[in-house]
Amino acid sequence: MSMEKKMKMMLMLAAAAFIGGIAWVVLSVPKEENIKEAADPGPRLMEYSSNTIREEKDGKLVWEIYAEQSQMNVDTQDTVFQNVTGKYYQGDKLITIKAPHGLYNSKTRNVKLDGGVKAVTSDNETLDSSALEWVANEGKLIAVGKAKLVRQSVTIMAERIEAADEFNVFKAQGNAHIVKGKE
Amino acid sequence: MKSIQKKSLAAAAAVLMLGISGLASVGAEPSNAPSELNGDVVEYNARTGLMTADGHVVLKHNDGVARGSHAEYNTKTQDGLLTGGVVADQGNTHLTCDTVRFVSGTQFVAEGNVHGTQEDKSYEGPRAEYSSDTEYLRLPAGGTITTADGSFTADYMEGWMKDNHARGVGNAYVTSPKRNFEGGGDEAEYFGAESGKVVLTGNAWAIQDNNRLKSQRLTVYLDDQGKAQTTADEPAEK
Repeated sequence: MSMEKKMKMMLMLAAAAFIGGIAWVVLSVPKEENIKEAADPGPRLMEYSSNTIREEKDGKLVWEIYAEQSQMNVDTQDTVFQNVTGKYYQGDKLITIKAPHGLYNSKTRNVKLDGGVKAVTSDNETLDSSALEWVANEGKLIAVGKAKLVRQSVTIMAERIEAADEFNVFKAQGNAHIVKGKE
Repeated sequence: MKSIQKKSLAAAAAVLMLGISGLASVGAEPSNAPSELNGDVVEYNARTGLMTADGHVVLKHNDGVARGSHAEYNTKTQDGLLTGGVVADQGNTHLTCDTVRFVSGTQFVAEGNVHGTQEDKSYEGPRAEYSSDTEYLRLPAGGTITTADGSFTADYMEGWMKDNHARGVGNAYVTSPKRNFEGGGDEAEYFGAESGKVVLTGNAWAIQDNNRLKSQRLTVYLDDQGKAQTTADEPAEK
């Protein structure tokens, strides 16, 4: 066999090996239906603009939340809010709360606002924090993250402040600091 | 007539007055300056006015600072309590005890291993009570007041700060090693406004250098040079 024939034979063998390799790679890929049974359709969501939701207890309004944008999960009823204004009715006191973001958990009926929360009562008391949660079954407001409460001549600062008993009883935890009088 | 160096009683009477009043202003709220309460957990009930603090408690008022493990303060009644290794400082006054209680913002009670210092003066005893409105100090279980000049001990002590007047009852004992002076009796009373008069009564005695006096009642008049004239109401033993 001449040198030229040998070279041709070798090139043909190499080309056959290459084509065989490609064919193996392509044929060995599992079919799509084997790795993915069904595409997840994702949560079923309903979106609202300028929507208000309310919670009542014994015929009395407990809170109402207005949001510029709301997105409710149809299955869980959980709702995500954007640019929220909340109103909490605590005895004779009205607490107005503003936050850029919020979440309503329909199971617990808790509302969590975050992204920098500012609350002002009808008696001009203020509560600022990173996040604020309304714990429905305890009737508590819990401010978390650089929480600061100003109530008349009393200022409380802590990592966490719980407000209960119609915004009259406060528990501060984590570098808790209370000042009576002008600071 | 005998000479006794001045200052031992006068300074001794002053130490508690200054120390106690210093601590009283830490806890009470006599001025409009803010009061500050810090702790791991702080609670405030706006209905009752009660503030409580637990864990690493620090109470601040004016330039005074008091530390403990638990504190209570009622903003309405101005009653307060600080417990658990209390350490209080204001200016050059330092006081330690187990518990301090404030009543109405004007009454103060320190209990348990009370130890107060101010510069070179100190007090030790189980209990000290002070009223800031009357400036009256009471040490019902007695104690020992020590200064650079000496010490004053009695089973019961009280002082009227406005009048610069102090009294020790029961085993009253005054000593000034620096001046080689000792005196005692059932009772010792100091009148700062009356030329530093000290009256020792009931088995009274005084010793300075080699001079010894004994009587039912000895009166010591302190003069401006720090000396004293001693008189015995009954014939004194020498």
